[in-house]
Amino acid sequence: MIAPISPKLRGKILMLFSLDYLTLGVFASLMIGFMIFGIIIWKLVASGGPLSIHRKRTTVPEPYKRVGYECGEVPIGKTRFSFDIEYYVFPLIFIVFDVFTPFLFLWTITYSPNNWLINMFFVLLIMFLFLGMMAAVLRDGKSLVTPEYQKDYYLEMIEKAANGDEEALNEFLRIEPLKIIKKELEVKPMTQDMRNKYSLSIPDDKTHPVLAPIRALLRKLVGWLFRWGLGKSPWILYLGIKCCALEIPMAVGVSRFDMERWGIIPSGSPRQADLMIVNGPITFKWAPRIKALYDQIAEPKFVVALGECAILGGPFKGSYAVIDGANKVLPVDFYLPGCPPRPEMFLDLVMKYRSSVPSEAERRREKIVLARKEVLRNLDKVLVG
Amino acid sequence: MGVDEIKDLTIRELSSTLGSDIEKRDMKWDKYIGVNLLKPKRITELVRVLKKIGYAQPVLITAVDKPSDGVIELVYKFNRIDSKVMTWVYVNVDRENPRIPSITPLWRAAFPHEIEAYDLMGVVFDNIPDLRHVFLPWDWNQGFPLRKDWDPNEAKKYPWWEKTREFYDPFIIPSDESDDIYYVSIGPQHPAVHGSFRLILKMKGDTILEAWPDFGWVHRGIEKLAESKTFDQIIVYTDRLCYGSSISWNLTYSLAVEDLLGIEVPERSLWFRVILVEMQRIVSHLLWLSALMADLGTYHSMFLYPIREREKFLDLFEKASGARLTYSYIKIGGVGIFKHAEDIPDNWFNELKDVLTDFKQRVKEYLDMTEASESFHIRTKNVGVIRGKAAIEAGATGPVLRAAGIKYDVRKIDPYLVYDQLDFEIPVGKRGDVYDRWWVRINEMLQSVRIIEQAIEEMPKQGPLRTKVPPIKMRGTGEGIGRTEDPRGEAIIYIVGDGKNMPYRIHIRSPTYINLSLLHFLLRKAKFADIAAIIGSLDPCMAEVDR
Repeated sequence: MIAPISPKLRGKILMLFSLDYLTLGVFASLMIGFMIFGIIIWKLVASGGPLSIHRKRTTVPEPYKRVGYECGEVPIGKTRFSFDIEYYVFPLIFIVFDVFTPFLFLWTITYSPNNWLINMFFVLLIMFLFLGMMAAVLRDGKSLVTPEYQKDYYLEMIEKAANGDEEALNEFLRIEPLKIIKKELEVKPMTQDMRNKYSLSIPDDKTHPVLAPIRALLRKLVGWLFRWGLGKSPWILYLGIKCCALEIPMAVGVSRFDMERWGIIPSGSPRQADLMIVNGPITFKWAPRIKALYDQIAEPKFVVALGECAILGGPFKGSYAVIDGANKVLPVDFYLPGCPPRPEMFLDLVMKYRSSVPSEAERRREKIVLARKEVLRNLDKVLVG
Repeated sequence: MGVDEIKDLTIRELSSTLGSDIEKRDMKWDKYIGVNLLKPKRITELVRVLKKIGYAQPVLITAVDKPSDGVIELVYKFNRIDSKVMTWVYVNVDRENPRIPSITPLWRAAFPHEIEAYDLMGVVFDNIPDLRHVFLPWDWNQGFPLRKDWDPNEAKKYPWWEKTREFYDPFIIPSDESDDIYYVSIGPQHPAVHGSFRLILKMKGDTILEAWPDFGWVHRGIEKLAESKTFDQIIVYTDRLCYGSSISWNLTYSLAVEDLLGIEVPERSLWFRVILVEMQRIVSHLLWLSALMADLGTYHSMFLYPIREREKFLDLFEKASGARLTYSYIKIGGVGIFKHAEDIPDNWFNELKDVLTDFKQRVKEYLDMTEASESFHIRTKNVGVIRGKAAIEAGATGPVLRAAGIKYDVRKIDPYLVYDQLDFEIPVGKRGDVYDRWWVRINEMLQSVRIIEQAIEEMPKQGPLRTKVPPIKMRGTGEGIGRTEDPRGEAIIYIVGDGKNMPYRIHIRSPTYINLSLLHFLLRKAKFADIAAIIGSLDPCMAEVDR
């Protein structure tokens, strides 16, 4: 049984919650309405809807597309593992207390020492939060400091090594063999399920008297916007392979040539890039990685072979470790000769890109769809890494 | 100690320990001692002796293939901190079964040289900690390219095309390692690694337990290609060794060939070479500064400013040589583009003086934006520490070694060109951390300005810039060495000639390759967030590392 609340206390609780219900109601309905509006639009336009202009984002079975890293490398070992508690204890504290702060605000504006019920509630809440945190830490049983990192000890050893102490030198200048081992590839045949998963779902309902023209119009509009943006602002993925990287993007990126005037932004990640710049001799070691980076770029993508080495091998043609030209590995769209090309030449290339790429992207779209179908047809196995 | 004393001491100590297993070898140079070691097994004893009498580093280990004798000749070069004397030890190992004890357990600086000799020449070093391919792909099974009888068609069999179609190199962690240890690889395509190399890190939490640099992404086989090019043609490759310091490599190579062929260089071009090389040092350090600041984050202005000054120097280079990056300006026998009668452009020196005056002001601006910032100190001090004896043992040279508190500069120790007539100082650090490397390089730029100003004054105003060397005379036998102080460290090009107009073997000591091998030690127990600062402070130039 709950003890009856005194009228005085009841009044205070009411006061706490006596807000302007009309305003609250208007804002709440606006919020919910906005959500519902969004959902309706989404249902209309998104894949499968009556006004769908969206082709299902296809997972092209290019093997590298699914690689997690964006540096051209595959992860070593498993990518999902349990972290030490120290890494989520701080976000945990932050999130919990961040949510808690608005309540603290309410508490402070209505605070009174006589308000024992509310005071007790908040004190207990804080206590429970801390206890919960402690329990989480204790359950994992890990200390908050990584034991390996003993900075003072290590600096002391460096000091000893610097003075020529034999033992410290041996400890400090130790070379450990790299012990990661090579795994056998696990090859799985491609099933019909996978085939369906990777396949394209293009709405073929082109006969509807009302919806089809609207869809066509929308598609045209969105396509035009997209290509306009593509031409105006190419994001470049540059591989800093060799000399050319000093000119492009480094010298063209800074004050004198300043490529950002034309909306060119160097993108560190392939996933956001439009224009891939291959600058330098492609070695055997690089070739698979370059292919990986290329696969990770979203369509439509364009490739520049920058400099003689990327075009034909340049001075290193005929070497035992170099592939003669980027077009042996990737489909190349632009060739920019020079060893290295001058920054002005790259800016000239950008002008050409702006004028030619929008129409080229449109022309290429159908080709891409066909090519993907071709890839799917020929693909009889999927590699599971 | 004088040169003669050190030579006597070395010979006395070596013969007392190794007795009849060594024999003295006649050398072309007075300052170098040559020793033949007859029994390869005793190399460890020899190294112990050399280490005891004060030799600093095995500065270069070259493997020369000699199929006619059925041997591979290993040339160990040991340098000293206090003198220009080097001891060269020649060891012949059997060509069919080339095995020799590794000196890495005794002298860590030998590690990168030894794995390189294994990689390209197939010499197996016993007891070396981590023997695998460095420059060639890890699964390379196509023979050793630098051997003379190696068939280039072997390389075509390497299945690189198959690798582009599937997952490559999927590696797993051995099961005996605990669960909370994980591996991260950074690169080859990553903004923090300055070019293309891969760093494999063994991590626990965000502390690095071990680090392995993985090189070879830009390995073009310059040393092999050069064996089929004439001496003049190779200049083009030396430009592309390190795009940050083309002229320095032009010089190192030219010195080596001039040493091999015995070519005299006109007095005026010596002075002009000094000016060019010191300009290149400034340009290279400016590039490094802007890259380091970009790595440290939120220093966008400091990324732009050094490049602004760099462009001014590049303009001067362009005016003289016609190229912005790959100059090929220092040639065998002097300086010039292609004619023998050409001269430095009019008014070039006045423009250079203006640029230098401006540059000296700009350095103060850099200090305002770096040293005055507290966050710069936090990010750089006590990060990536290596100093004193440890830095010598590990093989560091150049600004990395000087930041570690060792006064070692080839320009002072073994002066080439006209450095002995110039007045300059060597900046030396104390703690050996990232901050000190920054400090040393900033001061080196100022010293370079000082050198250029002196050289402009003292350079002969008239005279030829280049000796005419007829192609018929471009043939040499024996050995040649060019030893210079590159912006990144001690650069050596060692050439063996066999009487043709092409080198028989050319070996390039890339200072960055050795300095980057320090990552084994610098990154151990460092925090993940410090990686960019540590790599940036070593000034990597991957094209030079991989060759």
